[in-house]
Amino acid sequence: MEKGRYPVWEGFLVHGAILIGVVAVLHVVFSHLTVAATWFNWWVERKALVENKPYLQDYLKASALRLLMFAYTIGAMMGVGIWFSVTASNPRSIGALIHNFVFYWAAEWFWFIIDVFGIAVYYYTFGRVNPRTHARIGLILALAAAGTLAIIVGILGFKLSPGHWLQTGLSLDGFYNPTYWPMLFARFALMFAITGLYAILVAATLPKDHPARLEVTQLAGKVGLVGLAVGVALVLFWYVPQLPQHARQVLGIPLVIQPVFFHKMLLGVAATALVLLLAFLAPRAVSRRAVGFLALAVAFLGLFGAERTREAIRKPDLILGYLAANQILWVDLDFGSRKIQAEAPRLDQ
Amino acid sequence: MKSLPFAVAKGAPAAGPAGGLDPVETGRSLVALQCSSCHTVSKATAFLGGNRNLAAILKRRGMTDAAAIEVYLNAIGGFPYMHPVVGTPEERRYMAQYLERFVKEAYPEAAQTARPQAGGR
Ligand code: HEC
Repeated sequence: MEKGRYPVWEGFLVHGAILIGVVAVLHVVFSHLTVAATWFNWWVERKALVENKPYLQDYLKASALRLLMFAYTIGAMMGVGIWFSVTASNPRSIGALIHNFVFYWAAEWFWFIIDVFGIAVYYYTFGRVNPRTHARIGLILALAAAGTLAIIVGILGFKLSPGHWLQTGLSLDGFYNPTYWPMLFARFALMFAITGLYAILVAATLPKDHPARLEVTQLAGKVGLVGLAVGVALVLFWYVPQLPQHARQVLGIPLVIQPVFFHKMLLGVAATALVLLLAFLAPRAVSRRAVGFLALAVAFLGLFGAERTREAIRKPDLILGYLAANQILWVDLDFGSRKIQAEAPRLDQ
Repeated sequence: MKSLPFAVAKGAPAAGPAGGLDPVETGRSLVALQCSSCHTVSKATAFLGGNRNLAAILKRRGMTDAAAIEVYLNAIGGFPYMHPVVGTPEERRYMAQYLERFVKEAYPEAAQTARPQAGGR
């Protein structure tokens, strides 16, 4: 930082927003994958027990090992990366979030600890505890993973739709904001599509003649398709209508939301749907690593379009109606017991 | 002053020629503060053209000198996606001076052909 400059982080080579975007979307891919994969694996494990198909265990082991080594590790690192990049680029807004939600984050980290230790416990107890107990460990893992989701969605939604918080200043009002429930369920559904692609990829690493290979590929196609269809429907018919008026207006301004955002989303959804459908109908053709990797890459692109759109429609604010993207307060807020005074007029004097 | 974290503290050296600070550099700080969250405002982040690069936007509108840019800065308003500029008239002048330098750094050819078309949309 040069002398005389107020410390502002513009970015590094690329604009800071792009950097945050890449880190955050990687986090979204891996975190969503881990949450839904724990549920999917729990379901497969129960199937193995109930239908007496012990060979499915091989898939579970392969899946859990990769979750532990890649998804949880990279996902958690990118989570920390989000903290670094957003704190550097916009300290005041992250400060506002911490002031409102520090105990929610504390609660999330309890879930998170169970989740992160849980995946290690889950992997290393294969064959060492009795199968029913192991399935229960899987369930605990899945519940804890869903717990992390249920909390972060409140904080995420707050920035775009603070709702009654703007009148009351109560953190619970900000947490259970107008987009909380739709986003929670939409994300919970959509993540099964990502998990479906991941399961196809993992199953493709099993030996060619392994019975779990085609069976899991088909299951993944089925579960993923249902998740994708339900998720897209929830976004279109519940989430978007719940958006604040301002956000829906900005959604229609091509200067801000360039058509390419929509193209990416469409491509992501279409390609994912196609792969999942083929996995269900023709598992033998789809069960290849290249297909899995390629499909995940396209899904990443779609998610990038979707998350960037969600982030962009609260322009010009970071917390819509409260704090501008450039950290200046534009409106007077009256919470009754405390007041927030706009700064913009005073900065003009 | 405590409630205005981005205002200059009392007793700090005054900005601008009087205070011994380069007005263009002062403008650079102000532009970075107010605009860099959504626009590329210097060559440092202009890789592959940058993000809504202000040099490109201003050049496209034919605004390559400080006077025209200043008029334009004052006129920003009514965009649903962007707040108006804040700052005293002096601060806005410095911002315009920095933006002129940025446009000319990014488009050296604009330095010769500068012909303001203020108010262009
Ligand atoms: C909240 C984000 C945001 C901030 C902060 C912001 N802008 Fe913008 N600005 C935008 C968006 C979005 C556009 C539309 C994109 C485009 O025109 O390419 C835009 C467009 C513009 C345009 C072209 C407008 C037109 O005539 O259509 C100018 C000039 C501009 N901004 C200047 C500035 C300046 C100077 C600042 C700093 C004082 C600034 N902006 C701060 C988001 C922002």
